[in-house]
Amino acid sequence: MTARDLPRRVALALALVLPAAATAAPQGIPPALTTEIVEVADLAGPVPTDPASPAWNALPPAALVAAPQVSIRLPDAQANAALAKAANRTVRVRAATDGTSLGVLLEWPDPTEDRTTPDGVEVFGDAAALQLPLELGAGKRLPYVGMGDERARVAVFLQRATSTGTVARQAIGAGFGTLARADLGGLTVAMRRDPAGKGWRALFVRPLAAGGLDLRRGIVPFAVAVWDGSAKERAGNKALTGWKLLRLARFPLDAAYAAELAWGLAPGELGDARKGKELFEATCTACHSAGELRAAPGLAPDLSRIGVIASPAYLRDSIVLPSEVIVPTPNPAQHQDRAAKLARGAAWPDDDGYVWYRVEPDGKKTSTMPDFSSLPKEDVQAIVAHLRTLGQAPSGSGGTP
Amino acid sequence: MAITRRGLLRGIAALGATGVAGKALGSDASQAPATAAAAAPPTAPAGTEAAYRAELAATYGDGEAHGFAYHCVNCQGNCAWEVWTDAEGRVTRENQAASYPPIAPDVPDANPRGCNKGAQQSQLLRQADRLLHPMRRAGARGEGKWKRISWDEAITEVATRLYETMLSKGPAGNYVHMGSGMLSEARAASVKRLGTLLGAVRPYIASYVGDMFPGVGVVYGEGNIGCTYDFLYGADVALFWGCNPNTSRIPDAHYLWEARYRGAKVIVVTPEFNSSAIHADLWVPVKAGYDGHLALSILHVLVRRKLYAPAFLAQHTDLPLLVRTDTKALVRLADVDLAAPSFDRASVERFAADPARHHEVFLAWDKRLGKATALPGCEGSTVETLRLEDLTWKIDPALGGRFRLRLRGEGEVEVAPAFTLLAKELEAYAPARTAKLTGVHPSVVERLATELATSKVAVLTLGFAIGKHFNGMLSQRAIASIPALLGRLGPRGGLNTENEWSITGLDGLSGFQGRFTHRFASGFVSETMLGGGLAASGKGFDDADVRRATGQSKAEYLAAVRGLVDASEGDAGEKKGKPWWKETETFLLFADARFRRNKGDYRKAFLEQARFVAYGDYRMSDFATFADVLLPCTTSYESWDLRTNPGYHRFANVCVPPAGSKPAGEAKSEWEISRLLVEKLQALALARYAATKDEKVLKIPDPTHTQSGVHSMDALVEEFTLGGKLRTDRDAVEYALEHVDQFKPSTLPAMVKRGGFLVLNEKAGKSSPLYADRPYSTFENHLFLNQRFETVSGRLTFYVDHPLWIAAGANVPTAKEPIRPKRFPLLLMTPHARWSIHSTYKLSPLLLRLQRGEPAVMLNPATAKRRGIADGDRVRMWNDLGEVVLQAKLAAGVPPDAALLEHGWEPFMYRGKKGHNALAGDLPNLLEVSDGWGHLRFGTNWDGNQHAYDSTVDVAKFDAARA
Amino acid sequence: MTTRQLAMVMDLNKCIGCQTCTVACKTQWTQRNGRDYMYWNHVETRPGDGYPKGWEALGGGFDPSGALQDGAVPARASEYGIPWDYNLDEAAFGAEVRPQGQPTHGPNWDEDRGAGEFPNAWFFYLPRICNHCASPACLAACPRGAIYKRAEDGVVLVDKTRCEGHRYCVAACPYKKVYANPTLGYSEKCILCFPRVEQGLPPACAQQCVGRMRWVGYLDDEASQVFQLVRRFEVALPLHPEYGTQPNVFYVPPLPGPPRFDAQGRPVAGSERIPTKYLETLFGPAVKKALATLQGELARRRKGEPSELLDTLIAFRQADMFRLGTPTRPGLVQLGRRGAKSMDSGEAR
Repeated sequence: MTARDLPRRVALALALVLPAAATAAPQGIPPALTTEIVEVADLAGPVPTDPASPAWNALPPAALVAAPQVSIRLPDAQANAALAKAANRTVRVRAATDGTSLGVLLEWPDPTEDRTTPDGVEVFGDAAALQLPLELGAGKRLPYVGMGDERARVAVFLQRATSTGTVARQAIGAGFGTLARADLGGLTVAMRRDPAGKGWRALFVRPLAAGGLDLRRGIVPFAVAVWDGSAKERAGNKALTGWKLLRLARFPLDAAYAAELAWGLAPGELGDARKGKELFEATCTACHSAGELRAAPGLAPDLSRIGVIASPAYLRDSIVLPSEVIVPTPNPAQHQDRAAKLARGAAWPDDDGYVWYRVEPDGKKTSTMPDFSSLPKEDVQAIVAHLRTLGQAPSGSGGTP
Repeated sequence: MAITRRGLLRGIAALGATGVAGKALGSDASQAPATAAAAAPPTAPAGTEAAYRAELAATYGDGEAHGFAYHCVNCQGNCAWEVWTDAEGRVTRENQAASYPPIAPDVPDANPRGCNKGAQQSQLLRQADRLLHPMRRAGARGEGKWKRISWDEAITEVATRLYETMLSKGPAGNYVHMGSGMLSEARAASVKRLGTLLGAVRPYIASYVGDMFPGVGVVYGEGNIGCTYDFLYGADVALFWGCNPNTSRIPDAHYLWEARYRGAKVIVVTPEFNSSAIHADLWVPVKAGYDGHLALSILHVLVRRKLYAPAFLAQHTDLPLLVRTDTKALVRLADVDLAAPSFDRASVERFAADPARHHEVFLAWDKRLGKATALPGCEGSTVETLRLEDLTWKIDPALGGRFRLRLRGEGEVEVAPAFTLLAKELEAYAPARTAKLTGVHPSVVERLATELATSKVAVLTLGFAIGKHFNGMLSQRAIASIPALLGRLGPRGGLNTENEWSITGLDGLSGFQGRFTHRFASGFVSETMLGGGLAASGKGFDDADVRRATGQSKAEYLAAVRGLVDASEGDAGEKKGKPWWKETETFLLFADARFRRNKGDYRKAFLEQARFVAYGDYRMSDFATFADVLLPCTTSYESWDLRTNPGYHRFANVCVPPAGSKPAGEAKSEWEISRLLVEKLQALALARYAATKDEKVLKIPDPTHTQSGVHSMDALVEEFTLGGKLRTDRDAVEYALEHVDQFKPSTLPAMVKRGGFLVLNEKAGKSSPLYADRPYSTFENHLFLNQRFETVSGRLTFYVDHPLWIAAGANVPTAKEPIRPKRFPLLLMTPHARWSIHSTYKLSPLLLRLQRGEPAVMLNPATAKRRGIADGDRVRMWNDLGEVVLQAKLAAGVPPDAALLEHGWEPFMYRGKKGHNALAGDLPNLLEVSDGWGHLRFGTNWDGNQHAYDSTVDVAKFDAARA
Repeated sequence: MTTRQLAMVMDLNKCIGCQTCTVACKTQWTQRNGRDYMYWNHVETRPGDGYPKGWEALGGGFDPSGALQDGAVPARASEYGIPWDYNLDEAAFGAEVRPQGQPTHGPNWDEDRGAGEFPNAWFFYLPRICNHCASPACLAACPRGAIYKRAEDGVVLVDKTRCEGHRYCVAACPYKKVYANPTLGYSEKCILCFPRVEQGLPPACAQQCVGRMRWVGYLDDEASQVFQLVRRFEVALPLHPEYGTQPNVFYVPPLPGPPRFDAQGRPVAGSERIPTKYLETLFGPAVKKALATLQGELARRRKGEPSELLDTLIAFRQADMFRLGTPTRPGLVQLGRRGAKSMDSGEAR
């Protein structure tokens, strides 16, 4: 493509994101980021706490794609049967601030209304979550989008529908299974069915600056996730978006931070996806599953939908600096080492072939993923370009085979 | 004031819920829905392990405050339990005390005696059907309209009714009874004592519930015989006939399977493949109601193969007794021409010095003298032993042959030993011939005979199911005859029904050493007559049915029964047969859910005759809903009590309420209720006397049941309380401990320290010593010391020459067809339940959740398939008498021609509150009604059963639309 | 790291199906706090659908390669059965006493149903608790690592402070012995009565077993019956060993039962009323050897010869069936002694 095409492409992208307000790239935002921006409206009055408030309807929604989480597999037959058929979902996001608090409204289709009940042994509630990096700003790498990682933690705001209303949760995560409740400075939530009963609206309102999390910045990365109870979705069984950016126009923009976040987003900076596909299938699929190429489950994250949820920067880091982006092994006991010699009656040891990192004597963690920093930059970019295509199926047509 | 339904019966606050910090799924702890937490600790502890430890502590409370109890219901199990309480002294749960001492190193101990039902008794205390307050009926009977009244109002009303009835109808107008729901020695004595003091009518429980062994009494002179269950551990063959110990003897069943590991063979003889048969070495699927035929086939084999010991028969049984071959009558010394040449005159002086009793002295043919000789040990003999040889005599009785003997005024007649008549009868029961009826292959009969005859120790345990058939008494007798023929007594094993300890000194608790006697009614006859009489009880059987079972037409048979029953009515008939009193009209009943038990239209007839019904219980049973006045009673955990019998084990258990615990609501013990009634009766009488100056209102005449000829109403309290010594349930326990030899030495504190029980001393054994270190089995004294049995001949009895028995061909053991109608394809069998003791515990939600939640009839899958019935379907079950709706449960072990329904369901658990017994017909068996022969005289060893296995039904899928 | 493992052996030849264990467990733990529908201990009649209904078909456990398998969370009404209530308070007022809601399934739904054609019907009882596995599938399935094995006794516990009620453990347990507690918001299961064991009290189900068919002890205690029956005589086997969780509850399999009858009603000597083939589907191929050992010892015993194995199974003293040691640790709620204090309520003589 040529540079001449750029404005049109951007306009198109903006048209997608902000159909109601097809404006030029916001002031100071690297063009590469424009497709990732969700404008936070400045409100004179307080941020409305009712998802159905007309004030919200007045705001143009941004349509984000959320992909079913397949990187790690959870052992529920019914959930996984649904997951196999699950399509990417579109979550429409509106955001607003009154200078003291931030409101983020999610809206997504879900024909079944599922609420937890005091005796609902097999009942799971529909839910939604808003995720923010716990540390923001230049030099702060974005955490792994799936609950963060050991070196970059996330703040998670969750709400779930119950028979008596909605329950809220504030927590901090450092990777799968690490979510721990924490006081992040208060949270107001509300979930409402849309009048037609076709889906949900879930509103999160929190102070801009509280609980050690200061969002008074030009851009704030965020990701969202939604759960469908009727598909037995809970915990890691969910649909999540990649990192997106809240644009708070009233606060100064940290250009350096923006630049870091922008890596590899501008189409021209990404490599040849076709070449990337060849390299990927030659090198990576021994451990990683992707689409119809299946490796042993649990050996490494399943990348079938990685293109939707992982940013190019993260993908690059995970290839060239795997030990920098360590995420916990999902429950190592899922794989027994049946080859081990057992004392009579002893338990099978865990199969360390399925462990995602090793702990060195000095306590340093080394990813079991080989370090590919020796790869030529073009190859890395090509692989990233290919990975970005994985799971990018149009909403509704299903994602992973 | 009228009262609201929930207010009235609300159980005490839920004790069970121990608070635990909760969080609804996906919600924060702070948002947890409140969990019922009556006994919640102030702050729920943090941390998983601490939380569970705290829960245990909350249910356990202060262990030192725990109480002890057994569950005084009609299960006969009698197991010592430790009753847990929380910190506030509220009962939370229980577990078996499990501290019974071992009797010998090589015998498994009795721990932990108990069962599924006892393990949840604590839940009843707070159950919603608990009676908490006295109530008076405020609408029609059974309508469910009540008015809460004070204890004083209740006592006054009941006492007034009892008193007025004594004045207008005499003592027999009152019917005062502690029912089958409460079998214990201290507690049950309260109402017995009250009834006896008033000369009221009281029926025999074992008979009316149909759990009696009359056929065993015929042979052994007593029905409740056998061994402690630990004796079964030492058996080489343990045969269970008509019972299912794994289901209905839960605390004792372990001895069977431990015995099997010891090397015993366990054999189960039942129509259905049940929970005991699954572990047996041999299961014999006998056709229901043909147990007698099978037993006679076994006897046939034993005699054909001479698998008996002639010496034993000659000495310990009546088989040598001489019988007239013409009239089939036993030859009694009174009949004999003492000058007859073929009679050994010397035996008269030697054994029968009292001519007045010669009609109860029997003869044998002495092979040594070649003469007939009078025998020692008979009822009329002046020498009590069964010894055939002593310093001054030696007798060698013949078992075979035919002889001539001259009788007074009759000349010579032919006589023969009873054994020859028995052998003749048995010829008809060759296994090959009975197989068609019993469904048992001849090779199995041969094997059963061999096992029983040749093993070192064989115990034949007889279940209650046999006596529930119309001709069950004859079947019991035939089965009981097998160990008798084999000489299995004492250490050799033998028949096991329910061992009973000899407990002396309790008469003073329930009675008055003869100064007053209660009017003891036949259980089955009085209940039959209360339920609308013979006409009603004959329903459901046509002429063919009765002929098949009795050989007589229905009209003849009913007439014969009626003749006997009429003759034994009232004070005048009391000694002439099965006693019953037609004038009873005022009923004071406790723990007696009789409407779930009785057949056909009993309820209607009973309510017509009963002008007043006062009912005491801890729960609202179906029967209670029809009472006029309700009296709330305490449960096992709220009372003091003591129980010994029956003798499945050698321990007497005690009930001691937990320290600081209080009865629920206004519940009172039966001792207190009875005492309050007595005090009120005396006050009423004195007041009446003060007003009328009429002696008759103070001294109510009762020539037949008082020594003084009158009930002195002004001395009731003094009499009842033994001058103040006997006022409470605890007094009764202390009294028993003081007066019962077999309990000594033991005190209440010692029993509690031990874990709520005492060990009976050696005197408790009735017919064998109770050795401290050996399991118990009856009749050792008879076997080794030649003591006579409590029978008219003093011997094990095969021969009965009662004219009715001779006419029925039952002078020797015999078997008869079941009476069940053939018009319906399925026999309705209602065995004892795993989940209830009769109707007690039937309403426990905890237990119902471990069943199908409602009455469920078990059907063979093939039987169901033919009718398009699937498991879990609702079905209607019907016959000529009615129809009930229940759930179908398909079970492979049910015979294809049977419908099997655990008994005890309360009628109000069925659609339209019509219980399954509405489908059950019954008819008193003429032979069970017959009386006045030798040891067959009315009493706890000779009454009859109400039968329950005589009805056939059909089932079909229930069509709600049609209903 | 588990240092010791407390284990239980259940002798199915002594089980009478009375469910006293079920009731004992219920009154001790599960009739409150949202646990009413749970049966940490239950007894099911085999063959049958079991409890929860069809649990063996609900997945979970590990495959032969040692990989955790997907499972399903059972449905409350159709597979567990709703703990229906009764209108007992209306009995006095002329009402029919009926379950509120038509019962559809329950922990003992199959009671005494069995299989086979009369008179060759057959069945036996199978009590089930949590197996406190050496390789618990519930533990492996938890995405939050909220399930652990206690070091001192190997008891498997759900840490309610970590559990978020996601119920992957419920799905992954192939025995379906982990239960969701929606009222409290976390999963719960049989805890082998560890608070009782800590006090020297055996688990309620074992202490109150009137069939005397449960032994409890540590597998490394060679004097314990569990060691003797599991390791030495090898007559006690885990249920469904192929599930790969390495259970620590072991069963002495049922003997073949009384002989079957031929068409003429003749008992067929040596016939298997309970087919060994069926037992293999429950206890694996090792059941053949276990049954052979038992039958051999029984035959010898009937010849009057001694048998250490059968003496062990007889269990002469109930108190000896439990070898718990007396681990008293600081900070425990000390349960009071049962004693004479209840006599203080009145003047004892």
